[in-house]
Amino acid sequence: MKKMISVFTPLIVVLVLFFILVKVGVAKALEIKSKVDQEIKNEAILTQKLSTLQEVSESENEALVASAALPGRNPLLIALTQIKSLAISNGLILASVKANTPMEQKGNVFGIDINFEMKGGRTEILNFLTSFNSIAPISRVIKFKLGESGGITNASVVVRSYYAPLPQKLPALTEAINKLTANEQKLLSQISTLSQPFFIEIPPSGQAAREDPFNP
Amino acid sequence: MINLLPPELALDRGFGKLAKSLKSLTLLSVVVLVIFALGLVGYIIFSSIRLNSLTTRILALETSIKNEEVSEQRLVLLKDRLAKIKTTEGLESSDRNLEGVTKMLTLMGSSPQVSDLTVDTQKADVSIIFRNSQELGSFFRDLVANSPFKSVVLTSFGFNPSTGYLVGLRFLEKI
Repeated sequence: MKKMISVFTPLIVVLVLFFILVKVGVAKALEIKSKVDQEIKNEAILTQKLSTLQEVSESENEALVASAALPGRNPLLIALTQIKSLAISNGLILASVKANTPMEQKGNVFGIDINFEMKGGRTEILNFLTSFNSIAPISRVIKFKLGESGGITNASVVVRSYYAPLPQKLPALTEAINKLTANEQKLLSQISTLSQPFFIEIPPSGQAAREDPFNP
Repeated sequence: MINLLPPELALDRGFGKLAKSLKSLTLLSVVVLVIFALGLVGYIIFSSIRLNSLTTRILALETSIKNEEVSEQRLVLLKDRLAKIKTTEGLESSDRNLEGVTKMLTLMGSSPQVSDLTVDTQKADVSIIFRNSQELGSFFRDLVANSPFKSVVLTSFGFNPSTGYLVGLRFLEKI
């Protein structure tokens, strides 16, 4: 029996050492390999990202154009400016302008309905209505009602202007970012032709001296 | 050769062969173990050096990207706006019906009077006053030949000797 044990012991020791080496060593090697593979992927993503960002460093105007087309906040004032401007250019008279509460349409895009009435010629009113596809912010005619009497056309119109809250944060540093796709470039070209409003932001007015009503 | 080992202590021939085989196997196992261990340690050391090098390069890239944060903000904003603008293209509007009605009214000319026109996202309803049957017939001929809508429904038809023919039409599904 003792001879049996003495014969088998060295082999058993070697096998145990081999088992420990495989369990610990291979696990460690696989862990490091996994980290290396991940870092290789991250390096490729970051290299591509840096290259893209360096190429698009001149895109300030494009971002402004896109923001004018779809503002980050309720565009009521801007839309009203555009509506008045279009009405004047078509020789139409605007009246009874009202706006509803903004409602979410789809995918975090909101719309605000602006109701108004107008008077003028039929052709001018139809021109006015078809012009909404060419202004910023993006607006669509939802409904209109038109009636003619004594050569004058009266119209009651509902226009919906859109906006969407701005993104709140940048993507993670190791998240890839791509240049504009062909479809995005095409859409950008289309919205670049939209008629821009006279102003985008209303700057705060400066301080004025406040009269003291109690000591005139 | 003299064997001084007592016979009762002599090894069994079969057991002796087994012991010899096991000794060879153990030796071979030790060699394999050492080679495997050296290989594994070498791989771990090489991978660690490579990992450190990658980490350094990645830190440099991250710093460069942080310096381009303004460009990144612009690009993210631009892509976000374009994606949301694309969404608005699928939202309801009366554009197609307006386009069809405009085309129809152009065909009609200025003579017939449009007493009422209502256009929404689903349909267009129009009431037209024709002074005489020639105007009426001409309009319907043009409408049949060039209608921009798939479906035209006659909703009302009336005649007043002083004003003429009052025709109500509903247009559905702009082509």
